[in-house]
Amino acid sequence: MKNSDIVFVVLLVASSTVTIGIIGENIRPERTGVTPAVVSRIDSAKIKADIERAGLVIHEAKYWKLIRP
Amino acid sequence: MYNKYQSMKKYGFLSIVFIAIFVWGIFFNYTRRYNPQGSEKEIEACTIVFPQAQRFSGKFSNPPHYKAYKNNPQTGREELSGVVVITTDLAPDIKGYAGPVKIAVGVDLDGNINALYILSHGETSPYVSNLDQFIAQFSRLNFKNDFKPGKDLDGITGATITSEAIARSVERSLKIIAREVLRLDAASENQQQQKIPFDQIAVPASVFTAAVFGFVFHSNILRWMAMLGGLFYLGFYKKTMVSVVDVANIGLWKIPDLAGIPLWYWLIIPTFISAILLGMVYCGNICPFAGVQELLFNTFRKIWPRAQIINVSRNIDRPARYIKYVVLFAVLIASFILGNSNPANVEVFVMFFTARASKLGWVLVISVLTISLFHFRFWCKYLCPMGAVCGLFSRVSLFRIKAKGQCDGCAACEKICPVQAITVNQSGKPEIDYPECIQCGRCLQKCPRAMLYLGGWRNEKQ
Repeated sequence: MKNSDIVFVVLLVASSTVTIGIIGENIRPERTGVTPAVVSRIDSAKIKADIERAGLVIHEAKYWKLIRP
Repeated sequence: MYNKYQSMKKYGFLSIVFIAIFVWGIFFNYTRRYNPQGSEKEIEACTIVFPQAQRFSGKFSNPPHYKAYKNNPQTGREELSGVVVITTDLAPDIKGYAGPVKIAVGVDLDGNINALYILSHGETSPYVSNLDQFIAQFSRLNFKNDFKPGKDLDGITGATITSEAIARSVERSLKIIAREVLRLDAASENQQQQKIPFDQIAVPASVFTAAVFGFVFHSNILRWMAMLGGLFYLGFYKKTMVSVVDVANIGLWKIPDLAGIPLWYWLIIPTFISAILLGMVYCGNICPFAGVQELLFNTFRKIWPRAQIINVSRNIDRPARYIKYVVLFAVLIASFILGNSNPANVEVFVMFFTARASKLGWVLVISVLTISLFHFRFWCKYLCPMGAVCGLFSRVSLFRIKAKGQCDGCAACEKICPVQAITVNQSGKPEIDYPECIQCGRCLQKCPRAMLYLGGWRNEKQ
């Protein structure tokens, strides 16, 4: 095996691993194409109160989300 | 003699797997469309866009909508407080880049938007990373407003089509519901004459023409005109190109509107037609990221002529080429199971031209570009899933590069081929691996005795 073959195999394995990692990253639930609950006027105190009264809580993570407690 | 049947045997298994996955994906998603859970999601969306309400009606028809009720503490009676409408019910024809965007819109009795909730969309993540901020702007709007991104709303950079589709579908739904349910004085949707984006037709048509003529007439100038046209128009200006995301979306039947996005059709259709006629014309002569890799490789050689090229032994190179098929099948299966094309968003060119990627995505972009300095078209040869799709189509191409019977096997073509798609066999005849050939035409130009020619797959010249 030539030196250039070894370098190539290392680079190819690394690139393939990163590519597979990106596929894995893309199939995580928050990246599956459905933007989690997005509510406009979220900064309005009235809306926040209404949301809480409806039994939902505002969860600010990667996106705005509304989740049931 | 290398012929069509040997080529079919070699790639036959891969083609059968590709077709099987595609057919399964279409049936799987077709049957899933009728999943009754859809309405449960709509009710959940109602509670999000109208959190003030204490009860929602079932879905009314003509026009389809849900009514939101809440108790009046003074009268003790339940009163109507607004309605919720699903945009795909009232504007099913308005589509983003990957089909309709399904949005629940909460509307109060005065025709003001209460809140929006995106139930589903098929758009590619890097293009819609600012979707949340975009739809937050709708909160200040009511049925009398216009909804024009770039004028009344801030659009999403690099996702004009998606932002316009959202704005138009929300505007139409709101105006219909205001007029026909809330009995407000709402005009019809602002039906502006939709301008035909001629550049989206003229530029791809010119680029494909230059690429095909460049290949057929062995013109390097035409080839580079096509390549630079693809790089600047598709890559830097439109930030769009043929990708495996499009292939997944076709299987999911999430395709854009012809009138709104002719570019999509003017890229996809000529890419596959040219692949069936001539081989990988798009990959070899138009793909913007291939252009970036070629420019990097060539420029680096000019600046530093002594720079090492990473040459790979054939027994490593050949098996490594199948990695792109593994990537293709993996992303298609994942996309069809999940019902959206996000898993297919693995291609570095989308990340590179949109300049939006995760940390891992940037690691891949930078790695691939760096390796491209030392190895010609590293991404295309080993990892590009779209290259794999085009390769499978090009293996049945009607016109292809062939060697005349008098060829003495000097192997000049084998040495000049930048993607090592040509091998001179034991009987001294060049064998061309068509799914790997990028139709650059160098072998046709450089053959010292003009023994290579472009012919129909049945014809044999002596």
